[in-house]
Formats: sequence, structure tokens, C-alpha cells
Amino acid sequence: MNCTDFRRVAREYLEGQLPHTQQRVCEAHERDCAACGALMATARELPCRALCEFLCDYVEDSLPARQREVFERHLGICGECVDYVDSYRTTVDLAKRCCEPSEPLPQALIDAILAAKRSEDDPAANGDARNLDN
Amino acid sequence: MSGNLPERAAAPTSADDDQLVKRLQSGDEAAFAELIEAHGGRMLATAKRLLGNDADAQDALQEAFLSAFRSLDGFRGGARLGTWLHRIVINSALMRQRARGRLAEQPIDPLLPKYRAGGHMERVPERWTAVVDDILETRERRDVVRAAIDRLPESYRTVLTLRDLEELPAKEVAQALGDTEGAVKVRLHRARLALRTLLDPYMREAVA
Repeated sequence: MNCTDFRRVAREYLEGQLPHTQQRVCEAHERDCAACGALMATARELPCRALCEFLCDYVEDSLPARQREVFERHLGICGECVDYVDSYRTTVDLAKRCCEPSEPLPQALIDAILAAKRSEDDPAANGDARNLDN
Repeated sequence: MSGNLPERAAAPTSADDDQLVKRLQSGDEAAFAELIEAHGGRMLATAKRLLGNDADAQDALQEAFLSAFRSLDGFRGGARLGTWLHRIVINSALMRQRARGRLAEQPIDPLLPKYRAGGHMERVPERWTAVVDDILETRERRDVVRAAIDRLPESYRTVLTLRDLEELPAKEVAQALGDTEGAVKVRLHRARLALRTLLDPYMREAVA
């Protein structure tokens, strides 16, 4: 098994979901390959649930350097979390940009506000115009 | 104890704002209509997002404009007019929220990601194929996103509106809601996670 093959199945391996033989092959690769061994140590240190807790700080760039490094190592072996982080960022971006354009105010509402202003300036002359339903 | 947002803004007053303010301060009727036309649409959308219905939002908007008109003499141009008005309508909407009391909210937990005992996601997320710029192209597609925001429980929708849509600093939002900054941050994160869940089925389908 080479590193590319190992990383492709790393998440299933971590969760013990691979067939027994493949699980053993991965164990051997993790033991023999320092880089993949370090990645798996990180993944065990920061499972997906913990990654989600740091997500807000990560996208706002306020994670301390050490935590950011661990976070990014997790992303290095977990494609699903990469997709999740992308979709979280997209959610924030979409919400902001979809709410930016707003409809112009209906003329009736503009008139009602102006009438309410006149009424407040001179209550006797205009009566109470503050009811927007009228 | 919750308070109001400070009615100030970061950006300097523009020349157009200066002129309009002078006309408003001199009582020019047409200037009031111009002001409402120029800023009312965006202010109403924010009020509606905070209050969840048209009637309350329109009342909050009217209160906000009347309050702004009363304060015009004190407006010295340390803020952009639009930002100043926006803070006033947010305060007006938040006061209405408080006055009507906390609504019985749907729990947000069903919209948060679930994890197995080992800490991994119960349902593996799929890559979103929809493209943001395509969604922004039509009103119908933008409405899908707006409707998802409207489905968030009120307290979460409020924090998301103030932090992500209005981009107010966490400290000011915490002050306005009578909460701690930490609580605002947790609520914002949950609101985003829940919104992501609501958008997920739509975003996994590429927009044709």
C-alpha cells in the first residue's frame, strides 16, 4: 500500500469500517510510514465532531496556530470534512449575498410613514395616521 | 440586561448625505420622501428578518423613521445616514421582539450535524454542486436561501442577521441582546450549521 491509497481509505480505516485484511494492511502502513502515522495521530486527536466545534474560529481565521495546524492535518485525511468546511463557508457567503438586494418600499407604505410624520408634527390637523393597515 | 445598539457608524458622511441632511433639517417635505425611498426597502427587509412577519416589520420601520426624524437635529454627520438609520430600525425591531416576549421556538438540535460514538459524522456530507453566482442570478433562487433563513428559530435568526448579514461586531450584538460574546458566538455557529442543513438538499443539486 502506498500513501495515496492509504489516504483514500484513511477515514474508513479510522472508523474500523474496512474489511479485516485491508484494516491490517493499513495498520502496517501507519506503523511503517512516519508521515501517515503522524496524520493518523492527528486525526485521533481531533475527530470530526471536535473539528466542527472549531469550525467557526477556523473560517474566521481566529484559531491559534497550533490548533489550526491540527485542524488542517485533519482536513488532509478527511475529504468529507473538507466538503463540510467548504459548504459552511458557502452558507455564510450565500446568506449575506442573497439578502443584499431588497425590494423598493411600496408607495402606500411611504405615504403612511409620511402621514404619521405629519400627524406627529401636527396631531390636531391630521388625526392619527399611524395605523399602517389603513 | 439588553440594551440598544449605539447609533453611530464607521464610515464618514458622504457629500450626498450632507446635502440631504441639510434639507431634512430645514423641514423640506420632499427630502423626507427621498430618505424613505432610498433606505426604507433595506430597512424593512432587516426588520422582517428580525420579526418574522410583515405587519410587525412595517410597524418597526415606521417607528424607526419617526424616531430618526425626531433625532435629525442631533445628527452631526459622524455617521453615514444609511448606517445610522439601519441601527435605529434594528433597535426598533429588537424592542418589539422583547415587548412581545420570547416565542416558543422549535429546537435547533434536529438541524445540527449528528455524530457516531467515535466522533465521526453519522451522515457523510456530500459535496455541494450548486454555484453561488448562479444562485444569485435569479430572484427565485435567492428566495430559496432567504426562506431557509426565515425557517431558523428566532433567537438564532436574530444573531445570524446581526452578525453575518448586518456585519455588526460581536460585542455590540452581545450588548444589544443582553448576552455574553461567547453565547453570541455559539448561537451564531449553530445558526450557520442549521442553515447549512436547510440548504443542503438544494445545494447538492447543480442549478441548471
